[in-house]
Amino acid sequence: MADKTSSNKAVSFSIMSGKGGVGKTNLALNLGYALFRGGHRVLLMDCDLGLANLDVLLGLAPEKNLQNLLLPGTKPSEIVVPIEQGGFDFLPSASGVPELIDLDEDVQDMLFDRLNALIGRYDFLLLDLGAGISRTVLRFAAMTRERMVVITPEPTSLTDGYAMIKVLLAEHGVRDFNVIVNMATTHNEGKRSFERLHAACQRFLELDIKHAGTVRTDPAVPRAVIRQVPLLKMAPSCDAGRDILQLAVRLKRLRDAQLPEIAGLDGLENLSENNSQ
Amino acid sequence: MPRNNTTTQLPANEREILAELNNLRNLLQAHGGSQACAMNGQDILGIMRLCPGLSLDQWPALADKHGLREWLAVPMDKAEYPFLSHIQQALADLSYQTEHDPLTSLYNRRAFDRFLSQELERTRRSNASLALAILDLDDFKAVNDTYGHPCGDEVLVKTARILITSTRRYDVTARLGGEEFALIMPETGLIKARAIIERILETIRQERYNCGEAQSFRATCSAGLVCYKGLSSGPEPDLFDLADKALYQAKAEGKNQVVAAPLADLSPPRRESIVQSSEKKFLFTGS
Repeated sequence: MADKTSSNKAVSFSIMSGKGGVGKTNLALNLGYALFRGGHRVLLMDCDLGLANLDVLLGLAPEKNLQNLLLPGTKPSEIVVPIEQGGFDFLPSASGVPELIDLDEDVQDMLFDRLNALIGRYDFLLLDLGAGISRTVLRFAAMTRERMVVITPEPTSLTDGYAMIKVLLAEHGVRDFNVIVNMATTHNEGKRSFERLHAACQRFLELDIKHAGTVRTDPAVPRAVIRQVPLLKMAPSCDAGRDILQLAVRLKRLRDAQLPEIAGLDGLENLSENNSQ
Repeated sequence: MPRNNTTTQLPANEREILAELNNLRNLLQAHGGSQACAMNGQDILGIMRLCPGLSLDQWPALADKHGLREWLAVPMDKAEYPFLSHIQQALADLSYQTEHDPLTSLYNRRAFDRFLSQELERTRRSNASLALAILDLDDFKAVNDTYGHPCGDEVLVKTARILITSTRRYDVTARLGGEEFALIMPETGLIKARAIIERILETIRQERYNCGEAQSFRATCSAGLVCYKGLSSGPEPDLFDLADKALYQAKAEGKNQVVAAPLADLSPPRRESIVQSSEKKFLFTGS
């Protein structure tokens, strides 16, 4: 039963990266799964409009997607697909639709308006954003309460992550960023990468970014992808699995810290750009 | 027929009108108005009164009988008020003439200036590309000299028709004067605009003119093109001047072609969001 409590509990997180191929979508799925197993209600939104892939990772073939919401007569609840019964749901998007990559701001506004009713049922909204710095990605990222920037230890991934942070700061005034270092050989390597990015942000942008955690490279990850099941369901105690659980704990803490702030807000108001301006 | 017929024999409505007109006539005379002044040119005032129940067919006899020829009768019936519609049409024609070229029916220079300034403002605010082309028929004087002015006019009219049929409904086509035309293309970038102009020049090249007995001939046209994107925060560039210079270059480089001016307002990207090479170096090397 969906409870109709008056206070808003949904905290939105965008999961983003400057460059594709850093394991963003896989992280989003597994973080969602971990939070669900921890007793939270989670909505995973595929916001990689135009090049969506979450459905593949999940082995799902959804009939309708986010874009259907723009047509009259479709209710948000018709689009949501349960990943796990009891509170882990998925909102699919369409792939191969170039005009969706740059959503008109009116259309985006309408989309969120229609999603409003749905969102209050969840504790976590995880937005899997497309890679890069398109206008739509930046707007989504600026809208959420928290931002998880995914990088890998590769130097080019550091510069891409840095560019994304810099653009969001310059164009949307966003100052809060959490960094996840994915595909690190060791925790130490992850820490060093974060520290390099942190030092650059501090020195050039006067920005204090936070390390959300490191996820190690793990042979179980590609296996889970091929089997189209969440890694944490298939091999919860592998290296990457344990790292992601740690990350999930971090997300829960971030949400707890946000709760007093959003309690008085209604529905998607916590997803408004006001908090970042 | 004598004018001093007794009014008592008249129907009531005519009597009433006559009485009122006579009153008015007396009033005007008392104020120095003259019955014979109507053709003197200045200080003529028309006074209008609605007379229900009187038709235009009755009026000539009435006017004749009572010496009312200086009174102008204007039918106001039949719902559409034909006379007012006529005036309205005349005004519409006049207004059309102030903005259109009588020979080609394209917009004239005055309308062109108005549209251009409007579109410039739109582009400055919306950052939607705006393209402007100025087209000039090549060696048009030779056409007039060889085949005569009526034939030259035919070339102008056909060119105008090509411009209208090759452009979109929201483009503005104008004749600026002589053999010079202009095309305002809203929401159009340089590449699209160039394709449109190339197509127009090709259609002009294909057109064959037969003027009377003379042998048929073809015409060519040169064009200067410019595009504004509303990006720079500085003053608007003088698009007309830029297009005109590009046209001059097209003529100088052998005519029968389009030359595009370089983009007028490419502004440097926002400095605060550029990742500088010093930042990249730091991220790569740590120092």
